[in-house]
Amino acid sequence: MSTASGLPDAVGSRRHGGSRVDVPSLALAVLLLVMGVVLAVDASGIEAPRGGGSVGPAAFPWAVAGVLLVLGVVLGAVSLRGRPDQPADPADAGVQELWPEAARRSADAPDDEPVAEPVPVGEERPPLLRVRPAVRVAVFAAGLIAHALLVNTAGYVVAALVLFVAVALAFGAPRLVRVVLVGLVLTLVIFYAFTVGLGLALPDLGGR
Amino acid sequence: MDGFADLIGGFGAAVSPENLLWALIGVTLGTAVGVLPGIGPALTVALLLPLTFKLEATSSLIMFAGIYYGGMYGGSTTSILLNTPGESASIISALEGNKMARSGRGAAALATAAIGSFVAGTIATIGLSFVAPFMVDLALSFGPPEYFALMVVAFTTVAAVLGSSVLRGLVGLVIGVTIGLIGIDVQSGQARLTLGVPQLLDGVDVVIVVVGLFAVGEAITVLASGERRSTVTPAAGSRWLSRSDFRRSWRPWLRGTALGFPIGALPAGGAEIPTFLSYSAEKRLSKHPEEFGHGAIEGVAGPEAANNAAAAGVLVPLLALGLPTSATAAVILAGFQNYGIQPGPLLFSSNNALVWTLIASLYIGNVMLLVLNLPLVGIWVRLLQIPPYYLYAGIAVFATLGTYAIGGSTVDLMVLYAVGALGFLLRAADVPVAPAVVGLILGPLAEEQLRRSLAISQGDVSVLWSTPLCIALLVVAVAAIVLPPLARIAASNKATRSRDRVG
Repeated sequence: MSTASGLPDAVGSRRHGGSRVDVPSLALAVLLLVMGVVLAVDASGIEAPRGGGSVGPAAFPWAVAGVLLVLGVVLGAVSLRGRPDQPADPADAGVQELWPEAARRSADAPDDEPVAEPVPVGEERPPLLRVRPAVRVAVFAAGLIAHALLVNTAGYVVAALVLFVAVALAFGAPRLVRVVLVGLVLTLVIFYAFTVGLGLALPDLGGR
Repeated sequence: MDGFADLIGGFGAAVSPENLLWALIGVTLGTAVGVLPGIGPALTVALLLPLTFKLEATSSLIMFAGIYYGGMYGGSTTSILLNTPGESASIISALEGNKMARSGRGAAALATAAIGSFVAGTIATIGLSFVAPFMVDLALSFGPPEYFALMVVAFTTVAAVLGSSVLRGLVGLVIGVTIGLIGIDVQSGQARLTLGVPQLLDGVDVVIVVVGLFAVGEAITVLASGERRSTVTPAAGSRWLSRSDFRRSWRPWLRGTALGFPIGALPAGGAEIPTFLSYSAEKRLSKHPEEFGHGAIEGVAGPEAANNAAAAGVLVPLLALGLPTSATAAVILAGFQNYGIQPGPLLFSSNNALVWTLIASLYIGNVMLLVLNLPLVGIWVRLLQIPPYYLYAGIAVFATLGTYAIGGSTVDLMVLYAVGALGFLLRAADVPVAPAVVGLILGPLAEEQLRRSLAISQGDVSVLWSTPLCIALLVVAVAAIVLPPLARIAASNKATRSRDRVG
């Protein structure tokens, strides 16, 4: 149904279709191999408890490391071979696999006369940040990092507000002032609900 | 009948004002997060896990189960009215539901989904009440080798069922199992995979993994995929089912239930497969097959009933065997563990009152959900109008808050971000994240059973296939991995052949 509704392609190589190298899968395969090696090295350093049976704390990690390495190799091989055209939405993948006809039909069939006209969610105004998706991800990540750096120094409300505004901008918020106000209300409510209501400590203004 | 008396006793406890309140909070929250795209019941329950330190076990588990059931109801509203599907188990309902909404029959679609969910949820909860004690009796004779074999079955079927391919499902699962290894081994006191970071000695908290994979990873995926303009179709038409709609709906409800509950109750799990099966069954049996693809009400009624029945079915292995077969079930299991309770056959004797109160509250929760989702559906439709930037900003704030609240340290936040980046990579590589959550929770339990088995046999590995039941289970486990690729090859051969014939 994603094709019918005109959703953009999902991330990564799927965009290209055909059978090029599947880069995300290849990266994941490398990660699996690294994890397998790290786990094996770690398992070899685990001391078996004295006088215990043959199954100590290292047996299961060894087995998991083996599975990681095997899956890493297989996934790597599969990703190098590339993938045939995949549905843009992973959600559709399941549909296509199990019931290809359903996916095809919903994608091909032109919409019937819409009686109830769909309305866009949110406002029609253009977003403040008009940048590439990669930059949006960077803004999002910056908000997360800033939050972690600020929470113990500037206090919870400031840190959470910075995060809220950064994420909202990354997701295309059109009005800065409104976002700041909504974020301030939310973070203040959370702060007082936690500290007064639940009696859990959150860092005060200016840190702990 | 012993179980029946227990159930009556459970109802007695469940109708206490306090438990009713927790059920109401649970189903309301569950419906809300089911409706909102980007948040699901697994993430919500994970964020609320810290409450287990404040609340009594019965209260919080009633709430968690309510969120689980509610998410299934709420997801259908999103599938029908929004052009982007909500929960994975509701994708199929979107096929027909969204078409119905666009042709001005949105209200009828919502109604058949809500009533179908209620019918299926109630029948399946009755099924749960009767099947669970039966499974408990069976499981009481299991030894560690049987349990280990059962968990291997759960591993492979979850990997096979919850992803686009068995390989990718297994990758998700093993990543979860690996994360589950981090920390001190309970039996020997040895630190494993902590990489010298002292904060990792306690392991990586379930909350961090689930929030990282589902909230942070999901947000990055949405951002990286570019602008995504969602549209809501107003729910036009009468709020109740017309006589003809009802006549076309009731059989699909029952058939969907009949498909959903057994499949959910098998330690294979997943609410997705039954919805696919129900959809194709309804299409084949319908008197109006030409309407399919243009808004056939049977295509909403059947799958919606199937996913709710499967959701209740998943609770059978969770409660009776301690086997979680969906991400939400895995997080609920973590909630049990926070109270030092291990679901499984002994749960029904050691915490009998708790289990039956929980099950009784599911019946009550279903009634609440019918009211919330039929006459009050307008409230949830308004929730769909929340712009995505507020939604994701709010999710980010709660995700970090939930993580920070665990230990009050920024190391936890960094682990969260790392898991989030991992979640993004998994999604980009088309690897499902739900098996990772199941692996995280089930991995340590499987290791425990494995070590117990080998301790009993004094290291003789053949104990793992020493009984016919073990062998049967392991065969099933292998079949779950081997059969789907074979079936796909067969299907594609067939497709090529039929295409050749046409061409």
